[in-house]
Amino acid sequence: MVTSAIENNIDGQAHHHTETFISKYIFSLDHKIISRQFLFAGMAWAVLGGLLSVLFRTQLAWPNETFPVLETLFSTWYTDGILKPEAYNAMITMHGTIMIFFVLTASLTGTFANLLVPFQIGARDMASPLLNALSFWIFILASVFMLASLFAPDGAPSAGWTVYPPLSALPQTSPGSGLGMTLWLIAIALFIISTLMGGLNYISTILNMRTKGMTMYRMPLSVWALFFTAIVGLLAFPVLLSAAVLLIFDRGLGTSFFLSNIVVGGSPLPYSGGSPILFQHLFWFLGHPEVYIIILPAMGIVSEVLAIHSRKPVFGYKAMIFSLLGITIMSFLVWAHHMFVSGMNPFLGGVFTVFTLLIAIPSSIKVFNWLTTLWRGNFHINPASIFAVGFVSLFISGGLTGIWLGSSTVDIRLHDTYFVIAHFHLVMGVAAFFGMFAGVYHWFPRMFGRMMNNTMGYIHFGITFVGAYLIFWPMHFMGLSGVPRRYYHFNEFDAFSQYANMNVIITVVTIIVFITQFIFIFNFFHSMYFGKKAPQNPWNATTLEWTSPVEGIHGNWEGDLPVVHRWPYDYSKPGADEDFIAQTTPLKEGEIESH
Amino acid sequence: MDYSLKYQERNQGAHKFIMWLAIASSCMIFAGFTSAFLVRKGAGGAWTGFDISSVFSISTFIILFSSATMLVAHIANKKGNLGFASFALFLTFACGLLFCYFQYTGWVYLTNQGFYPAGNPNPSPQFLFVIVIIHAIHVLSGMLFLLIASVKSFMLLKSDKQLVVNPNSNVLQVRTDLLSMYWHFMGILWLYLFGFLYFFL
Amino acid sequence: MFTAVLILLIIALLFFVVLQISKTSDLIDAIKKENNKESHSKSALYFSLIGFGVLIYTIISWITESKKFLPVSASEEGVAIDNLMNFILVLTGIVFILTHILLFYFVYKYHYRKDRKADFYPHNSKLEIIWTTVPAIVMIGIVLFSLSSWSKIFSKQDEGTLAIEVTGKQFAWVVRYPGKDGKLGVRDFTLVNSDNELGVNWNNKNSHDDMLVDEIVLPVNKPVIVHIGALDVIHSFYLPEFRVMMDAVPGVPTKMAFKPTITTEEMRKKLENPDFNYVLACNQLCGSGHYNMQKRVRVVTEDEYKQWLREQKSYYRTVVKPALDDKAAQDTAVVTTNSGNFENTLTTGFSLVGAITNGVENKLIDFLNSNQAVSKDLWFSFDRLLFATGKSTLLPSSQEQLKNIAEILKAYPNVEIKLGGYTDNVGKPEDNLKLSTDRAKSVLNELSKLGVDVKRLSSDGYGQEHSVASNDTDAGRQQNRRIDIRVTKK
Repeated sequence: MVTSAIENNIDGQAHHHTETFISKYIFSLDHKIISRQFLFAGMAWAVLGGLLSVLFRTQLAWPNETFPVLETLFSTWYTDGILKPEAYNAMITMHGTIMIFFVLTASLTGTFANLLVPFQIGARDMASPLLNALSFWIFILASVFMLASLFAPDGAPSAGWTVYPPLSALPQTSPGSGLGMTLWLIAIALFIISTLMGGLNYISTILNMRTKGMTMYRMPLSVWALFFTAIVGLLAFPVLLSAAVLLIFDRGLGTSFFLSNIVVGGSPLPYSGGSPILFQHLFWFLGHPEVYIIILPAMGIVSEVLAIHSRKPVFGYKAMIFSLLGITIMSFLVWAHHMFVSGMNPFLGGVFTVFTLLIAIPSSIKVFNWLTTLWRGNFHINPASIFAVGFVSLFISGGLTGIWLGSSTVDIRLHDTYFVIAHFHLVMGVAAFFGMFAGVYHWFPRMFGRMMNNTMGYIHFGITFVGAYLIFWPMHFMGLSGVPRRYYHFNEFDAFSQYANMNVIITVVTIIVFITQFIFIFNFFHSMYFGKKAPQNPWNATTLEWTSPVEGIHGNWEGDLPVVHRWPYDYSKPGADEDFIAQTTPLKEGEIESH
Repeated sequence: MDYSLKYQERNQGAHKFIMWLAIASSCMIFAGFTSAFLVRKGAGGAWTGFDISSVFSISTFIILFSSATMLVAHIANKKGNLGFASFALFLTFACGLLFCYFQYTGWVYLTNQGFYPAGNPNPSPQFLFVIVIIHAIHVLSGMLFLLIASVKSFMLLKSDKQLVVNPNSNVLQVRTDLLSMYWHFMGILWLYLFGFLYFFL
Repeated sequence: MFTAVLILLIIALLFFVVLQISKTSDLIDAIKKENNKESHSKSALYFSLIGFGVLIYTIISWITESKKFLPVSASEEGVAIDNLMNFILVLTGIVFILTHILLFYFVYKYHYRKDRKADFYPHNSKLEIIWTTVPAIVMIGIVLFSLSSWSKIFSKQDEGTLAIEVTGKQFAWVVRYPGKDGKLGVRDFTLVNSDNELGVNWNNKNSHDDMLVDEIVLPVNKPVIVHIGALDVIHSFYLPEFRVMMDAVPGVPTKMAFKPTITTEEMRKKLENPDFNYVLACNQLCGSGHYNMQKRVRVVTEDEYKQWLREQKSYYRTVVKPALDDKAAQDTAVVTTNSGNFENTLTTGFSLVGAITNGVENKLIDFLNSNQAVSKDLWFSFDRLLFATGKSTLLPSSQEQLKNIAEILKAYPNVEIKLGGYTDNVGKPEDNLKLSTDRAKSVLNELSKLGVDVKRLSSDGYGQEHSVASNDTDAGRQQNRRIDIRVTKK
């Protein structure tokens, strides 16, 4: 039976009620189960998104070879063993859409917000478990539509994940812009609704459901990061929804929001007065905050993991919070740096350069704080901690090239070249994944009561970390040589053909890295059942999630909720018996609360 | 926050907070539409205005009246007068229906005046259309919940069951609170949109 | 097929091996009581080696591959772009290397040892202020450098002595050069048809000498402004060697100005590549042919440019006009009333005399009655004016049409007009200019004598500019010798 939180949580006591398999595991209202559901869905989508990248990278490495095997498997995408150009465009479009929205937004936030927020603030569950479950199931509905769009008869959407009109609005300009694009738009609309539902819950829970003693400045940085992520999403996603609505109207009702003076195949079309640039403004108003929605939770996870495994407080806790706030606010002021050469008023180009370069400051503060957290720590090496360190490296690499692109002048040279691909993959496509991996390895014992296999974790890390650099670092060179992105092959241009060998290497490494992820997936599912049983607090961490019974119970704590007396970073505090003091431990006589 | 409040009361407050956040995010959708409107108008070119008060004034009056009936339902609920509350909720729902009807007739009138959304060399009607339609969709979803609430209240009244299943639970009150917040937002949003369109269209 | 299966089997085998190693390794760890280890020094060492290995790779690969990067900028504006970029490279490069050294070194140096305790160091305000202000100052420096070059690039937008137009479509570029008048003809997308891909308005005189060319040829050291547009979807006008990039948006004309400084020949010598050519590529996803939209770009000396220009033909004269003439000839053969009379009685009661269909009276009245806006490009030619040869004296037979026009102007009292005088290219340009000016003035005087308030009239001479036909034929020259009228106020 499905029951709501209001009716059953009397006096905040854990409440037991009869459950069927369906209500316990499928339509569960429990945040711990919903978190796993998001994780499994994300893993499935990541495999599909990764597979698409293997396919299109195969095309880029060997553009003149035929692949009869691939044609047998994916017959609509290949002709005579060669990938069709519109199928290539569809693959890159769906790869971007899947990875950005379904894996790095829904799954990253969905998994960790659901896992960590109620636990780490000392709540029984989210403010509205019903809304939480709805958010997941609408995400699944969105996934069904998105999967359907991949198999649309005339072609999957192929206008890029950025779906600029007129290409995305007019099926006559690209076959994938017919039914495929319609399904994509429905999927994204549902996705936005799902994400908004989640965000509403997370914010309200954090502000209203904290346990006694848990002031805002005693929350771990993982919760702070998820809090700001939800705020950004709440304000930014609706604008994408409005862009999608206007695009749907242009496509289906003949309005001219984004279309004007169009001639396709020699025939003028009856649209006038619209502007494609308007779409770009509305899209990037979400599009830019979106990448911060992706990276902020990863940053929060990494702050936690580095502190715990270094046995040291995070350096500059308050500075970390204010830099998160700074990133949150500034992320709304930089969107048009994606549009420097779009034809918008050059004056705007100057304005957006200023804000874009300034947003580097809070990001760099965070990097310096992480480095200082490691300094003079007692750093435990395990898969979680090294993925967190890998995150810092990748964030530095990807973030610094953002400075190049943030200058509108330099962007004239580098816009839409492989340099941009290198930048966003390092900082988002790999760093955010590393944050996710660190989070999974670290909180696996909390999710399943068992430990993951370390050796597989190290192999996973080593190959993925080195592989990521081998794949994306050379793309900087391609960009600096002027090679444009979203090209099906480079043979038509002498200027762009210098990297044939390098493209082969990149593809081979991509395939190896893709296969390596299955080691992680195997490790994950195998350890769920056969991993070493985890103790109550395997990492000797201070936060509340480790005080809840390992097997996971409804309502999280038997009896009363825990009471908090200190911040979460009392690691190696002088005068303490152990190298950590749990948040629930009262202050000793004369002890001053730190931070 | 006051930690001495029972968990459950905090949770009810949390639900209301969720409604506030949902209202904020809904505002952002309309912010997107209204800024697109202003950008397009500012870019020059063909643009014919229209006096919207001649078309949607009745709708405006109806939706404001429905906020009053909603308030009545809210107060009646607080006082425990289930029958009256149920009736007032239903009346609010009926006002919603009337609102939608007058929106429809307003549109028929506009299209007859040559103010139609698609294929029109004048771009202003398409913005008007989108804004009004999306607001109407919000109103329709609110109406669905209004109907459910009024039916449930009525059935509870008829069933002679105790009003409250548990002395500490107050589902009905919270439900009406949330509905009432949403419905007043519909009215205020319409006022803003009406005013915006009146001045800028 | 067999290879594929074999590869898959090998991968599966490797997978299996890895899994077995992992499971054994964990068993061994359990036996060795992993959790009570003395230190993590071995893992720390391996990790740091991986990290430093990657760091060294990033630096060395950058250095070795840099020879493949774009050559020196072929445009003047591009130099500033490259300078700023290299400045940022140095700054970010230093930060990249330093932070990575610290990162991997710290993990090694401060790895877990059982007998050590971490240093409880939650914050240090001074340090935090330093590493907030220093990046802020550096960023502001970059911002100022960037804004200054950006504004220089975009302040030059109207300096181009040469204005060309490039239009993107699926999947090619259509390039239009303006011809002798230096002006591009007006376009209207509703006029597009199979002979008129760009929708050029052939009634607009400026379009008559426009040329559609196969490659973009630019004279070195002369600023050029490119007017960029698209027919169907968003494309992007991208000249990598020139550091030029600007989206081509349907419905939103854009432009980019730059000055080429290195000729193709010079660049070939620099790169020691005799086959090198500058290229135009599309840089915004535009559909299945996005990767195959190239056009050759050549930068040449002034003389070579003039030579090339001479070889290009006006699209109007070589394609459109002959087609129109053919059509006109067919039409007149079939329908005689085409050149019949234009009967019209004005509101003042005056009836036009001797006016023909599609004559200037017809066109003028149609225009004045329509909603069409006044335009600088909309001229109508007088068809029954005759001057004494080489003089500005009007012959008596011209009076009829002059009277018609004067009466029309009286019937539309708010209208103001301008008269333009034109000649063919026979004789000295300055003489032609004077003749055309005088002739236009003559017409103005006549209209004034016929009762039109002189305040409503203006006149100008344009000499042999704005020719409407080729000056190579008698018929063409006769057409060029004309007086045109334009409405300046309706």
